[in-house]
Amino acid sequence: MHSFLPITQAHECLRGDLQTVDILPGELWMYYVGIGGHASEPQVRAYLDGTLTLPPSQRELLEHAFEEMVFYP
Amino acid sequence: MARNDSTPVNEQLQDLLLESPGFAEFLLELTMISASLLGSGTPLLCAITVERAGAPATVASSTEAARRLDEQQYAFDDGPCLTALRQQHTVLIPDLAADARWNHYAQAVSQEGIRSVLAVPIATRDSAQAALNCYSLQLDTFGPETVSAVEEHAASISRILQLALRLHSADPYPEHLRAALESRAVVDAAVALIMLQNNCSRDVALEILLVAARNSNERLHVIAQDLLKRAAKPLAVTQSAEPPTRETGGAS
Repeated sequence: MHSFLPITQAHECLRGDLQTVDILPGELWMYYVGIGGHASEPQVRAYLDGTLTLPPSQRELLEHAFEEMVFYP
Repeated sequence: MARNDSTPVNEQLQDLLLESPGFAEFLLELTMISASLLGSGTPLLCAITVERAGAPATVASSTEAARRLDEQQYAFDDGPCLTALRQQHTVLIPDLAADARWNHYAQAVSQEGIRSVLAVPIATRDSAQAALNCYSLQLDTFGPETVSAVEEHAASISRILQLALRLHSADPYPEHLRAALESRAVVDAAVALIMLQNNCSRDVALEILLVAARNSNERLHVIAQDLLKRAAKPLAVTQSAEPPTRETGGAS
């Protein structure tokens, strides 16, 4: 599991951060779609669970969506 | 019309909610209950209309005639029910044929034989609006006592309707949906603009927006909006020289 550290850590961090600030995965997904995201809600949930990898551009957009939700509530 | 009798038992309404497979079915049953409770003296046609943000309106009617009466309002985008729903106040038309304000509507529904109309808003949450509409084949059906009985009934079904709206929500996050859709439209337009200007891929265009948003500490969709605004200005000036396919050039 931990042999693919960069991806694993990224999604685990994001999942942890979501729980910390009380944002639901579905809310994150909707915001992410709003700023141009491609992936479906199940794909994003699977990514957060660590069972699916997203393309780098989509991972970056997801991270950015999270940052905007936290910094501009 | 007995007022206390027209207040349905909460448990009965909750059973109704739990037994209904969907929102439309629930609303239809609620309309039937309303018609039977309110129309004990004179037969009433009832309809309940619910408009939700970002979703088409749901209309439930106790009879076919009531459905046609409601549909006419949507055809005109005006009518007593839509007014009650959108302005959230009771609309009473004691004599439809003699009422100048609703002349247009009265003509459209004249073949239904409706003489008087009462439309009462049902309190809901911000993301939805609802109204209970009663149609009568007689004049002066809606005296002060009846109006307050219908208003009381509308108030009594407000809570269960809100529960139904939540249970059968068209979208789990309706209040965010509109914002996301509006933001996405702006971002997509900006991405297309960047792709055309820089002859680049969608991913690269999005990356440019992302970097710009980070560097300026601004939301991505605000950056996208600014970009489109700036692009629209010179286009408006030079529009006659441009090919007629640029829709941003039309912004005044």
